[in-house]
Amino acid sequence: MSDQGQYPDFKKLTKRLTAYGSVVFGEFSLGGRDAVVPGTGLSIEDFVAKVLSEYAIGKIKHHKSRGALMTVLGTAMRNDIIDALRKKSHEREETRSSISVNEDAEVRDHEKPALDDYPQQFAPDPASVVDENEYSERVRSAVQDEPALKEVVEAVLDLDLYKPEAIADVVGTTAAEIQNRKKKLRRRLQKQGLVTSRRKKAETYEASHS
Amino acid sequence: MKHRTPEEIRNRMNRLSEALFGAPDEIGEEEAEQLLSEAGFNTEELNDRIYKRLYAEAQQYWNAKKDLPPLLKKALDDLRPLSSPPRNEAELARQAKAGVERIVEKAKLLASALVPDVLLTFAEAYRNKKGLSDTDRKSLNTVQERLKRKIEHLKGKDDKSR
Repeated sequence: MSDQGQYPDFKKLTKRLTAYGSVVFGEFSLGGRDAVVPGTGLSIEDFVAKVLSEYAIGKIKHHKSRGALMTVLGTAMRNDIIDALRKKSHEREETRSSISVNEDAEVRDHEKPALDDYPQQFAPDPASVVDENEYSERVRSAVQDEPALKEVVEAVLDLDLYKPEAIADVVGTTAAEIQNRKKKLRRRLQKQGLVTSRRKKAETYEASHS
Repeated sequence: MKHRTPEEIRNRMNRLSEALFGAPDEIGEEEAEQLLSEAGFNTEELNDRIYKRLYAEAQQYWNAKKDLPPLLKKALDDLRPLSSPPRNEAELARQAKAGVERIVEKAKLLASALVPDVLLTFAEAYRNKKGLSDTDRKSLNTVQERLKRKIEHLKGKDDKSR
């Protein structure tokens, strides 16, 4: 049940959860509408359907004390996405090629790596997207060209400030303005996504060999 | 450095994400619509697909002859596609209303495509034509005036309904 003790409007919930899902996919460099978590085939819609279904049958319960319903469901969905990425990264480690280090080096000497050798060329590496340091690096790099957004990112990542009011104090603006900048960050995320260092390396390689 | 469990790392990243990009409930309906349309989502089709998945979930209850959980029932009611056969009068009315609204929207689009926004000018070459009687000229002027008025009337209606 919703905060008001009434049943929520599932059309609105679907819309908002899908929008949030698309932002989270951008955050983990997964892409837009048709994107899937590599190796799992799970799309934004799959995650939305799962969380809505779990809520509808009572597997996920909502109580006022846990915050807004949208936050409870959104966080559950975000955790599912992270878990899917993490699970995939473990599978990759377990199925890594059995070529020895020396053999591997030999192969490297003979064959220059082509861009096509990067598995799923621009697909994110599941291990790096769920790594906290990589995550922070991607966020910083995404806002380099926008001073206003950069200020917010630095306040959060360097000063460990989380509340809009605290960030606003340091940046010298209002909490409402910080909320506006967060909105801009969300749109930027959804449009461009955070670029992984792996993808950057691939793009640099492509640029230097074209 | 203290070794952190995957759960601790995930919680820390969630905290950072909320501080940077906002908590899920910060995305209101309007913003959600904007984000979805920019990403190319068709919300009606999306609802239909989610409905099908929830319907599959509901079938398990029906097969087991169990009552549907109230939230699942509400979800199916909310997301029921307009193309499904109506189950009662209220649903029939809702579907009819939505159908009419869609037709009106299409008609509006068609009307605005047919009636240009620019000022209309008529070819008035007949004014210089020799051999036209005064009556012919009058008739042609009347036709021109009538056409102009009709188009202005149509345009006015179209503007009001926007």
